[in-house]
Amino acid sequence: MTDDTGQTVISLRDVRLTLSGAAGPVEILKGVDLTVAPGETLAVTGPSGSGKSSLLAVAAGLEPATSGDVRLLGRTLTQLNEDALARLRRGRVGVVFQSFHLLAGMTALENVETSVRLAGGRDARARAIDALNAVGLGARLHHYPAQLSGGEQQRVAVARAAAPGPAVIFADEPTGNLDSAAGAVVRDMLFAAAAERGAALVLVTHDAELAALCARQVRIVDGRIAA
Amino acid sequence: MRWGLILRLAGADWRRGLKGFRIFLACIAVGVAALAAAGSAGQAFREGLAGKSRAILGGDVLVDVRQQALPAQTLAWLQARARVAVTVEANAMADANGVRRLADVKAIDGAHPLQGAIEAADAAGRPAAAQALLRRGSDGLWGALAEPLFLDTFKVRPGDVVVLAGGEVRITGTLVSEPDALGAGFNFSPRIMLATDALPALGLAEPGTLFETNYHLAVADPSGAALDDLRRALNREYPEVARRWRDIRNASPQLKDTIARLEMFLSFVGLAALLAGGLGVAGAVRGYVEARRGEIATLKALGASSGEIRALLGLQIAGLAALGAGVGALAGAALPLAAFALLRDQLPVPAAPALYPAPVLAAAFLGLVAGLGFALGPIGQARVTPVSALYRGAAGQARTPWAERLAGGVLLVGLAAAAALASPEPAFAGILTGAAFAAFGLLWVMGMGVQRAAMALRPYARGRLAVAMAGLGGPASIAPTVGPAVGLGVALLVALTQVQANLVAQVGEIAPRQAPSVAFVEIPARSAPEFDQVVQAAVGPLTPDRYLRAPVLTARMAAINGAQVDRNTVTPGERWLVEGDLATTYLDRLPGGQSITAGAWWPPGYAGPLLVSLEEKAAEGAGLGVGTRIVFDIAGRQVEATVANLRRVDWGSFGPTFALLFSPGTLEPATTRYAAIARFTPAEERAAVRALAAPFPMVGVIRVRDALAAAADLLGQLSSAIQGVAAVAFIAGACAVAGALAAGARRRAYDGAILKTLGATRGDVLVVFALEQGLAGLAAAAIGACLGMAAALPLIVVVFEATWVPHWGLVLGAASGALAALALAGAAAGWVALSRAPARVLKDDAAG
Repeated sequence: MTDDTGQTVISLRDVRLTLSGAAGPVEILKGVDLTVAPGETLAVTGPSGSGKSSLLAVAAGLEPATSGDVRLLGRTLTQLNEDALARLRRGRVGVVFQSFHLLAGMTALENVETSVRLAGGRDARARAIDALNAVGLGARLHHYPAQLSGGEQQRVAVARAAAPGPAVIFADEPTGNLDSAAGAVVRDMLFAAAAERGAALVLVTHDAELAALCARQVRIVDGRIAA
Repeated sequence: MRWGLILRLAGADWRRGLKGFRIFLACIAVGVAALAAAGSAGQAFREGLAGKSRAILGGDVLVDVRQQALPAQTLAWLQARARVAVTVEANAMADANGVRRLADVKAIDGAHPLQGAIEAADAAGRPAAAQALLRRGSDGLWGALAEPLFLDTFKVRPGDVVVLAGGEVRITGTLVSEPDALGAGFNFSPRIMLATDALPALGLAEPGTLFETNYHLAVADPSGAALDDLRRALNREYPEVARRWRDIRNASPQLKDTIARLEMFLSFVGLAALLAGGLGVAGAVRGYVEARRGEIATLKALGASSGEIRALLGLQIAGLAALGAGVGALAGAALPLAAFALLRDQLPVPAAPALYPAPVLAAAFLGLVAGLGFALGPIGQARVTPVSALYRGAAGQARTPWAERLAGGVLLVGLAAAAALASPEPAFAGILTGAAFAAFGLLWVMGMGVQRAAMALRPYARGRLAVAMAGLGGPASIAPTVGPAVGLGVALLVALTQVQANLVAQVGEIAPRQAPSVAFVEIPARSAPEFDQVVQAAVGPLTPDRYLRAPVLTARMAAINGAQVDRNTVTPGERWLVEGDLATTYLDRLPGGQSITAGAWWPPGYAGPLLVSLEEKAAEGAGLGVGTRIVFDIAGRQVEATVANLRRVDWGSFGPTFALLFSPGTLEPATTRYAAIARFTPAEERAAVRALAAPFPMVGVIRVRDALAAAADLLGQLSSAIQGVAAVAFIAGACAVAGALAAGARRRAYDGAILKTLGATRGDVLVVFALEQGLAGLAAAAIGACLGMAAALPLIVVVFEATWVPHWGLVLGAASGALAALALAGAAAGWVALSRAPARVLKDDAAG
């Protein structure tokens, strides 16, 4: 669950990200350094447009950095192609998005089961049912995403991220689209899932209360770590 | 309804351009282009024929009589009212350089042709007047013009002498073209032209032998009224001659029927293309709504009513459908022009290529109706989906409202009715259109079944298959769209290739095994026994299973139950029974291999009033049954016969396979000639022909083997045309599949991004998409193949009356080819979907 030295699961050195926009290239990340230890909970905060979500995408291997060194679970991501990145994530990296991003054609159970199967886990169905029971959706196993509320969809996403037993869970504004009650439920489940599996949890949020639950906080402003 | 606002919004949408709508446009355009091309080509052929009526008839009117010439008095009557040219057509054996076979002889008088000119070349290859080359030479031999095929077949050149029937002629030049060649029909024999004055010297066109005399008339006033007056006057004086009248208003009814059928067949393929394309339209509209769901939700959130949403989407889609129909109409109008320009010298039928607005506009209208008919469902779903569901991405999951279902249904039924009514044969086209819609419905239901089955079975699947089946069984399944598109495409491909392969096999393999290898015609009745002896001496004993000789007469129906024959009351496929001179015979016993289906065969030794036995299907098509009284023209005389029975005939078998068979007795005095059929080896055939040359120079030898080989060649040449039509079916199916893929592109990109986030490689994702697509097409390809076979079987057995032999290799090829193409398309679409980093795809989706 650690890198070669046993010290970090995530390590970013002078990471930069530039994306092309309609008005020309936009520099999103401007030299970010960051490390995350195994089992650590880290909140990344900052104003809108500061680059929080992009930082998470780069760290999780969902967006290639323009330059710099990105290491995840001991592997240098810049040296990996798309497929190698996918294999690295399999079962060891969970991601929870603000917009849930469930597979619309699959039921809640199938969404979670697919994640376990891709990780190569045994008893995929049983583990998926356990994970959904853990987030309180035992009665909604066969519902499609469109038949679930936002809070329920996000709980499915948490179950999907946690079920394979990952080393790191990335969560991008996991409560951003939810009301406070639903947000509180998701928040508790997310922390419980990470703690239960000893996984590091990297949270991107602008919710100070949520950030305060993490062992460490970093603030990103205009593409740079501010504190 | 705030129309001003709706128009402004629709205008803003159109300004975005056509990005994402190319498939929508293609789906409409392919079907419209096929329909417009079929209509334009049919019209061009009809106009072409109308323009050539005079050439086909060789004048304003053609009167043809069989086995006789008109009496001098009748001819004088005609000559008093019109300029008259006489031509005679007959078959005769020609012999030169050791080659002895049947030639197609045409003799012309000094007045022929009344219309146009015969193109001929003299011995030196210079253009020359045909009449001058046909004169009798100083050596007493008549001159003859031979077409290039004749020169090649008999290995002769201008200047050479050829034995023809009972004499000799000298080839004086080459026959390049005749103005009335179209009217001559199709003949496999090489053609030679003579002067009518040469016929007596050759023993040709003598009473009782098989020949046709054509009287071409050019009148001073060729108006319809004047022609009718002349025909009425002829009918009063010589009613039997008036019955043989054809004039410029309907110069070639059979050719016209053929063109009508060709057009109907092509229109049917166009309609099937439009139906398959319609699915692409529905898919593309679903994709459009999916892409705009955020905007639609926002408009609704801001207070737009569902009616206004429908009007807005309807306007946008109607504009696009009109554009697609316009593009298709232009392409469809241009296609025949280009094809006619390219094939100008190879067309068997005259065409007048031009821009014909009626068929093009009709095709565009049908395209517009199809586009709107198929778009209404997805539009209805979008308008009734709640704002929150739209934002959640559930635009396509609401039930289609009844109003849209009803309107869509009415439009599609209207489409079927309009397509049938626009066809030259509405009843037949109606059946075809109904069959196409039924097949479409069956395939659609089957697609839904595949979706349900995938949903039910997916808990048992593992790995990538499980993910593929989840997609296939989920609410955004491609199965209901891909099913009919692939199924219709495969059905058309299978039907076309089976018909083609069966016909080629029929003439290339089956018929040579069953049918006689050679036929002998014009055997004089008085020397028939001697004929048998000569043949037997050459080939050995003549057993009934390989040699049959029977009297031959030609008969033509003149009246049925006392009324004149009306071709329009006969189904088009069986008009030959009442229109032509049919070879027939009289028999005491029912021939082997034939069976009675109604009535009874006459008792042995029957010698009572004349009875006739009719082939079952032809009789049904003409509305004739047991007890019907028919007057026949036989050898210039009229005789009445009563239908005693109907028979089933295997046309390809060895025996007297005539549509008409008469009872013995009455017709025996009219017998002047016999025909014989034989199943000989090529060596026996050569020996028989050699042995017959001296004692029976006038007996014609028809090498059925050669004729079948020529027919097989002709069918082979038709292959490219059939493949062209099959390509239309394939393109339409491909457009529909592309539409389905486009509709699912956003979902695919999104699913691919999530699967990658969860650790799936690109290979995994591609396999998932290929499996999903392949499974969706599997059942459709199988059912499509069955439907194609079901369509081909009756065509072969009933329409072509040939032996059905399924060609499984072709079925497998069409079905597996379509499946492979489908799976590859799925993988290719997946590749496009995977080309972006997952974070960006997911971010865009969250924004959209």
